[in-house]
Amino acid sequence: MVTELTCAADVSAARDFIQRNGLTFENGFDNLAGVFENGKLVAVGARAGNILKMLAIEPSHQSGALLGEIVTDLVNRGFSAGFESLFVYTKPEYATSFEALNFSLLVCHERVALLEYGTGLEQWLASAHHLIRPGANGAVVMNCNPFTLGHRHLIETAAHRVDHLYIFVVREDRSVFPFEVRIRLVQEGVRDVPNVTVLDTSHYSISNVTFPAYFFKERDPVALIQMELDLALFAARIAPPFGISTRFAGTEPYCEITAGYNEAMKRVLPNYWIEVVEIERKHTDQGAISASQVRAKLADEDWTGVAELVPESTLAWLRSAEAASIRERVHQNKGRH
Amino acid sequence: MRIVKKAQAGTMQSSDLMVFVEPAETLTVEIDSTVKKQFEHLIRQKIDLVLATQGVTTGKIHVTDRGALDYAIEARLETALKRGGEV
Amino acid sequence: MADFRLRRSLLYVPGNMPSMLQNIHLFECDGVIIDLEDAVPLNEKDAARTLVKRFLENYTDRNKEVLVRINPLQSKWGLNDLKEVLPALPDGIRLPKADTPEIVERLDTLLTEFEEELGLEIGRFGILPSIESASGVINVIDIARTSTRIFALAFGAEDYTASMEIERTKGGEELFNARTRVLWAAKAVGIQALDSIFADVGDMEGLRRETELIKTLGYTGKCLVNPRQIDVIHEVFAPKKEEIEYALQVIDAIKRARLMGTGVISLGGKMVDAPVVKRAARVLRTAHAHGLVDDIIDEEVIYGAE
Repeated sequence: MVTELTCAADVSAARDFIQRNGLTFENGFDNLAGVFENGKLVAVGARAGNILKMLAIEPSHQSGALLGEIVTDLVNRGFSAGFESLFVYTKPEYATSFEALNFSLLVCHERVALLEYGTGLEQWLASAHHLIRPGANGAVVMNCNPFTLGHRHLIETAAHRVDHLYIFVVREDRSVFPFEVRIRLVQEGVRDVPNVTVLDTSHYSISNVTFPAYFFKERDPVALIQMELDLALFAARIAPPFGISTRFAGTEPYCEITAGYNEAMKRVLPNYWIEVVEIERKHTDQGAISASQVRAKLADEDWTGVAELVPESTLAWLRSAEAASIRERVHQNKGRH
Repeated sequence: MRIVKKAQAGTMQSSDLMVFVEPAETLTVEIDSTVKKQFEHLIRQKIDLVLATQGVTTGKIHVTDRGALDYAIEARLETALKRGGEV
Repeated sequence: MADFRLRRSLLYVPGNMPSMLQNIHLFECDGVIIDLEDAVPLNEKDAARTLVKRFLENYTDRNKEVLVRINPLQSKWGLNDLKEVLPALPDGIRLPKADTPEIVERLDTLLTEFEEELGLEIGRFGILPSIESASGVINVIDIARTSTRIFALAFGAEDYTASMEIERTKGGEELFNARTRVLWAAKAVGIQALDSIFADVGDMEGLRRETELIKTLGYTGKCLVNPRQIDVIHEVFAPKKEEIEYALQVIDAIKRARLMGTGVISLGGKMVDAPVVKRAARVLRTAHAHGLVDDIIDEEVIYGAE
């Protein structure tokens, strides 16, 4: 029977077990569950938010039902905690074991496979099916925190070079400006550009699932694998149905992790016959325009400065009553994203 | 019976299924199954029958199946409805 | 009342696992105990009893004895377990924590009520009380007499050692007195005694030793947790050639005595009395299950037609 491992002795036994099975023990989980046999752990797994990880089964028991047992427990807990979609990172050789549990493979990297429980990606693609346009199309994935003249410049330039441009706005709500506001400001900001469609990335690009390090701004070997996995997922599963053959990005002079992501794009995407085009950032006399500059000026209530960096639509919203709480937050929070 | 809150039942073990139910305006039944191709219509039939018997006309029902037989489908759906429903 | 039913091996089957439930008809044990108690986590009690109900309704070609271990009647689940599962007609109920005659009487009354409600013959559902605590062991002699539904007593060593605050050992010395007392109680009222599970599924030699021990003491069967344990238990309980031959002679002697109209039966100069006949009947039953004899003797042979 699956038991929750909470007391120190159990957690440390789980840590040993996980490490003995060639995985890295990471703190910061919501549940740690295990199965004991004759007083010894034979299976362990953890859930952090909507991600299942550190799943390890005693090698002599791997043909049995333990994986199903432990994953059932974690999925139930995830569902009870309010997550609609659950994901698992595992070694590529175990992907089929998860497929047998109704997980579907999203993407496989040399050393890691990402799967989701159920068929969320298919459903998301199906729900966006009516937005698909024929032709040689392009895509840009942006957070837009908030939408600036820099974003606008990138979109105009990119849209000019393709039949149709898809603007994927990062869905993950980890930024000062909530997703609903970010995507609305993008929609308003590109209304007059004829060949663009604005949609969101769901869980499937630059999300807490595919690329958590983006939000923590950590640059380490793990972040590197995440970037490549995120991009492989885009290239293999998202780009084909939309007919995307070019991915655009702005040059990144400030943020090391975003610059790293651009580099990874150039490494990964051409393998999938997707061209990567980096577009020179739009500059003012204070350098390249960035959303963090906008937030800094907003924090200082430098409205003239803000107006130089954002389109009318964004400016109007920033001044509106609706934005009061955000202005307050920007004032307190001078973080980067 | 009406589904008034989110609930789930079942396991991921082979020959079992997991059933997730939640309130919704209309009735939708979504099935993922490792034996989907051959058996989806039979699973759906069984689910429709249980829903009709229980008088459930609205709600979102999501099933992930691992080759469960009829009795298990019936039992798991009943349990999920009991947990998330109100007579 | 003589009960010759074979119960060498009663396999526990977790009540919340369809993959195990639907294999019940394939397992070669004499009976199964579908478990709603220890094998089911607290938050799955409702799910398990519904699953078991639906399973039993569909298991119509029953090929072995089917018992359901409910949760203790003292718990908040016990009564609901009965409500849900009895209409699906198990052969009997394994009652955990049967510590006192009163709790077994309570189950007896409940079963009678359900039988009336379901329009079943009174006494249809059997009771297998689990003697698994110090007080259960003390009260076992009274418990055995509480109800004619009780067809056997089951000794539960895991809970017993826990209630004694001791460890269970492979040798089983710590269980000796309790095991014997449960046997006395069973034999005194003429019912079977069934031994506890052997938890270490990997240790077949240990299982064999323990089964040999309890067979020597007088137990007629054992509960088990894994189908892999069935073979060992059946091997131990397989009657020896001499036992079968002697049993056949006993039965033959009864038949002859009856033909000759004599009430006194003797074999090899020894009186053949009821316990001897009973033992012979069981040996032949077991021998038949092992394919060692062709016919099952019916009760008429032993007791005569009315």
